[in-house]
Amino acid sequence: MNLTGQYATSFQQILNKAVQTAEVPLTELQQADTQVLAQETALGSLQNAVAAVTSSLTALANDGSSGAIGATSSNTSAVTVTATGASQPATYTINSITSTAKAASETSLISYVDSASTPVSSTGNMQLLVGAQTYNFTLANNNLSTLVSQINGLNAGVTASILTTAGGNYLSLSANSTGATTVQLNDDPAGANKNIITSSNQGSNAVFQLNGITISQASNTVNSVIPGLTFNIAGTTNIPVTMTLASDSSKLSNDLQTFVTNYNALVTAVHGQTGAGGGALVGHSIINQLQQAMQRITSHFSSTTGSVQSLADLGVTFNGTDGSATFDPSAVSSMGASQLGDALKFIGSTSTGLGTFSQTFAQFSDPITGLIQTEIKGATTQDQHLQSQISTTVNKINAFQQTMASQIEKADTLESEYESQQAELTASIQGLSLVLYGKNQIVA
Amino acid sequence: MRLGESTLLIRAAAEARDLEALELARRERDAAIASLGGLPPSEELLTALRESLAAGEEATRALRLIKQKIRQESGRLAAIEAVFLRALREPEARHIDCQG
Repeated sequence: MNLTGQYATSFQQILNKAVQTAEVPLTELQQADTQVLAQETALGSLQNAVAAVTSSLTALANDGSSGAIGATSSNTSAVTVTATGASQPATYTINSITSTAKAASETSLISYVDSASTPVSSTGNMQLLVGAQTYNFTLANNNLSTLVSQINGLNAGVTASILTTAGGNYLSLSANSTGATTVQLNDDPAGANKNIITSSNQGSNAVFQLNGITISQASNTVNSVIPGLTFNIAGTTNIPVTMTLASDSSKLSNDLQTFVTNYNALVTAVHGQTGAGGGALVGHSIINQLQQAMQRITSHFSSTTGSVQSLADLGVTFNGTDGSATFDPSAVSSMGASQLGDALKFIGSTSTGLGTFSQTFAQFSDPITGLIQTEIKGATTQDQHLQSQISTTVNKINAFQQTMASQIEKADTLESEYESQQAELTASIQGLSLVLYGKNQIVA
Repeated sequence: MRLGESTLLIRAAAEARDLEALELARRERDAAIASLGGLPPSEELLTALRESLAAGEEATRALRLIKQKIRQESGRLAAIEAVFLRALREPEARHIDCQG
C-alpha cells in the first residue's frame, strides 16, 4: 500500500483507504469464523445427543438378540451376580463356599522404639519373599523407616507401612492383591536367615464348588468360568446358592426408559436448530436428515411380532405437537413370558426390527465415519483456512503500522528541513529589507 | 526553478497534505534559495521571499497535521487489531470434545 500517493490526492483519503482495506476483510473474516465455530460447536452437541440415542438403541437391540437376559442370586450376601452378555437362560449352583479370597498381611514380630534410629537388622542385609519371588537388599540406614521405604521401592506387590502403638513401632506388610501367597522378610539371609515378620495371615484363595466342581482362585471376582456371567464371592456358606440367567423385563424397562430420555434430549437439540431464533445449524441438511430418521422410528410398525407391533405396545408414545416421547413402565412390567418374547422379537437386533435404527443413528453419530463428524471435520478445515486468512490480514495491518511509523519519521525530518529553510529565508528578508529600506522587515 | 514556482508547489502540497509532494517542493525550494545570491535586490524579490516564507509556514502546519492524522489512524488500526485478536482467542473455549 502506497501511503504517499499522488500530489493532488488527499492524504486523509489514502489513510482511510488503508484502514478500510484492513478493517473490512477482518470484520468479514471474523464474522465468517464466528459462524463456522458456532456450527462446529452445535454439531458437537448434536453428535453427543445422537450418540446417546444410538447407544440406547444398541442396548435395546442387544436385549432383543440376547433375550434381555438378567442375572439373579439366591443369596446375595454370599454371591452377587451380573449378566455380561449371556444370551441363553440358564441356572448354576454354587454348592458351597469354604473361603473368600483375602490379601496376605503380616506384621513384625517385635516393635522398634524409634523408627528412625532403632536397628531392625543384625547385619543390614535383608531378603523379602513374595510368592516365588526373592528380593535381596541392603539397608541404606538400619532403621524401620528406611526398611519401609526400600521395601516399597522394590515394587514387589506388597506395601510396607509403620504401625505406631503405645508399645512401639511395628512393620506392616500387606500384599497388594488377594490370594494365598508367601510373604516373608528374612534378616541376614546369608547367615542366621531369620524371618522377622509373622506368618499368621499369608492370604487365601476363594474356594468354592460350582455345579459340584471345586474351584480355587486368587480373586473373589469370577468372570472366566461361565460365559456371559460374572459373579463375586462375598462370603462363605455351606448352603447352595442358585445363580439364574433369565429374561428380565426390568432390564428391558430400564433400557426403554433410557432410550426415551435420550430421544427427548435429541428432540430438544433438533428443535434448537430449527425455525426463527434457531441455532447455527438452521437450514443445515443434517437437521432435516435427522428429523426424517426420528420420524421413521416413531412410526416403526411390525405385523409379524405377535402382541407387540409398535413402540406404543411397549409403553412408548409420542407427543403429536412437540414430538417428545413418554414411557409407561407398566406396559412392560405387566407382560407375561409370551408377551415379553413378542416384545423382544419386535425389538429384534442391530440388524432386524426396531434395533436396526441403532445402525441408522450410528451413521450420524459415529465419531470417525459419521455424517456429523464429517461435517465437524469440514468446519474445522474451514476454520483453519479462515484463521490463516486472518493471520495474513493481521500481518498486513502490522505492515501498515510500520509504514505509518516511517511516514511519521519522514514528516519529522521534513518539518525540520522546512524550519531550517524558514530561518534562512527570514535572514534573507531581513538583509534585503535593510538594503531596500534601511530597516528589517520580515512579515509579508 | 524560481522561488515563486517552488512557493506554488509548497502551497499545493500543503493543501493536499501530501508528504511526498512536500518533500519534492522542499527540494525545489532549496534549489531556488541557492540561486538567490545572483539576483539583484528588488521589491519583487522581497515579495517572493515573503510569500515563500508564508508558504513554508503552511508546509510545517501541514506536516504537523499529517503526523497527527497518521498517529490517529495508527491507533485506530491497533484498536481494530486488538479487538479482533481478542475475538479470535475467545472462541477457543467454545470448542467441545466431540469424541465424548
